[in-house]
Amino acid sequence: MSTLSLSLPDERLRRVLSGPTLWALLAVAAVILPAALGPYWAFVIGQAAVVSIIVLSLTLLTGFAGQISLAQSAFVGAGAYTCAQLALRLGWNMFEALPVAVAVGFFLGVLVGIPALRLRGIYLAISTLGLAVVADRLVFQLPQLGGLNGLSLTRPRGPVDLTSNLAMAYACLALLLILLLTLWRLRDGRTGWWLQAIRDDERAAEIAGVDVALYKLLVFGYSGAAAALGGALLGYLSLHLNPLDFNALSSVSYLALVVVVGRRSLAGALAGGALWVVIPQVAEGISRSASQALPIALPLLLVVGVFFTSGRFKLREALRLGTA
Amino acid sequence: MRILLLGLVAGSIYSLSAVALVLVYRATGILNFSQGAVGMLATFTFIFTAAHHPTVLAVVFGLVVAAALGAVLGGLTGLLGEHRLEATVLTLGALGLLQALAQVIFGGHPVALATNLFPTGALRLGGALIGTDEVIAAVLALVLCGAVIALVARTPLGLVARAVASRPQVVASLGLDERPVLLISWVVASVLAAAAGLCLLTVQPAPDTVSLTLTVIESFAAALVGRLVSLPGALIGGLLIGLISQAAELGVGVPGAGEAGVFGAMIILLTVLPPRPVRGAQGAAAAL
Repeated sequence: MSTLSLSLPDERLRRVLSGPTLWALLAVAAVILPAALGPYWAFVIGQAAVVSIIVLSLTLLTGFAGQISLAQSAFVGAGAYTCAQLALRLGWNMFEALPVAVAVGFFLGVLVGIPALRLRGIYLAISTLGLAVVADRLVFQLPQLGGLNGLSLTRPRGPVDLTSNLAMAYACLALLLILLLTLWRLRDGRTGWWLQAIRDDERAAEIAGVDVALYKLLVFGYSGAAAALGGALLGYLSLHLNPLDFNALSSVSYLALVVVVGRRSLAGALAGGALWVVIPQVAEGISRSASQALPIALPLLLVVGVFFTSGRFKLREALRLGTA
Repeated sequence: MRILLLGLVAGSIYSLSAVALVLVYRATGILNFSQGAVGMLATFTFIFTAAHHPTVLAVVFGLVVAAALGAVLGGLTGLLGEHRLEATVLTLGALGLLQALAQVIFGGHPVALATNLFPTGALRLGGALIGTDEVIAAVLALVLCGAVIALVARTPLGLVARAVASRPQVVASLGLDERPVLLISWVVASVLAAAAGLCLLTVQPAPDTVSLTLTVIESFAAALVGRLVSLPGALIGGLLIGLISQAAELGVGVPGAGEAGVFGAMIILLTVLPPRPVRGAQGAAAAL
């Protein structure tokens, strides 16, 4: 099973767009664009960065370690709600609450990882979906946690002032960069090899001396932590938490994104974040009622993407067919 | 007693959707995540048609919509051939897509039923009151379950379906084409899912799209009792899950407790009765 990668017709263009040049271009764009385009676009770019963080949590789990999770919405929500509750009850600001949210995400991830030691494939998928439903219905809608009205968050003024959209966007981008570098090192390091061994054949990995259980738990933990980080940032970015943002079906959207942009690709995760904000913008240009554009487009992309990833239909052949 | 009765009513409806889930899984090795969404779309089609047209027409229209969706899903997954894991992911995409389409077409709010599907009233059973319509829905669901089990066990079509489920190579070597059987399984299962959705209206008179879509989790938990392959197992499992869900929901009294109970049951079932590998579903170590 190959990942879905856009095969550009021109090989040279493709070579330029992959590797160092691409990353350099992205870095320059990340520094310049939020400042150049004004506060609204800074907010949009921040959102793309946060969604990229969430997609990366799945790149790690699904792409590197071959585990599937539809509970990502629960981790995202856990991160956001941890921050909101710490702010509400203890008056903690973002710099104090963020590490706690990440730790909570890690802990929950490990907890979900325990049944995952026994379950795989579709059984893991449906159990994690069940968990996401429980988190959504039982926890996030609790009246003590703000109920259906949700909760508000405020951005910190000090030690670094993040009250403007621009500063917040840079903060999100910086954390995204840290996560990217971590995953990069992890993928090409020894851990990456072991995760790949687990993904390809668990029993063989076990025989080769990989502590499969430990690595699975850790990878679920890190994935939960990354998703919680994304959720917390999402809260500080949009300043308001709505329990509906963390409903179980948004997990399907996250999974759709990571499958469509390439499960193992770090650059793909950035494309995923970009898709998340670009699709509604485009839809808004076409019609006014565009609030459903994302929930429609992502599953549609998933359905189409499945055909390409299955190798039944090759994009390149389809393109050639189109030009012939 | 009331918990018991309500649990059995909800349970028989879960049985019906679990039987539908098993029907497709046995034949194709695909776990149809979108089944709840298909049932949901059919149910909402019914509700909106029934507001302006005769009830019978609305029911037929709802079932036709479900059958058409089943045919499309069957056709698409058929195109994927032996890529069963991908096909399962495809049904996951279909879940999201149907859900989003329903939001656009029917709006995101719960909708109350204008006319009742079954005659209403109250019955006293063992010292507890229960709606006549709920009893009718439960009996109807159980009868449909029985009909499917009989269809698979007793008819020539059922024989071929069982052959396809257990020995696809033999079916192929006999020169039989399995594709019509697979497609029929998808269509029948979708219609059953729609029927389950309609029956669920008696328990949940004002459903929202998301909760109906997610009943696939209850169906899955129920189907696990039969290790995802046994139709009678799914029937019993549905009743069990209904009882657990109602006992948790009404016993604890917190919204979402029912879902938590079902989830707990699902995890226990998955560890105690691991599903039997069906064609192509084994070796799914690398998810997706």
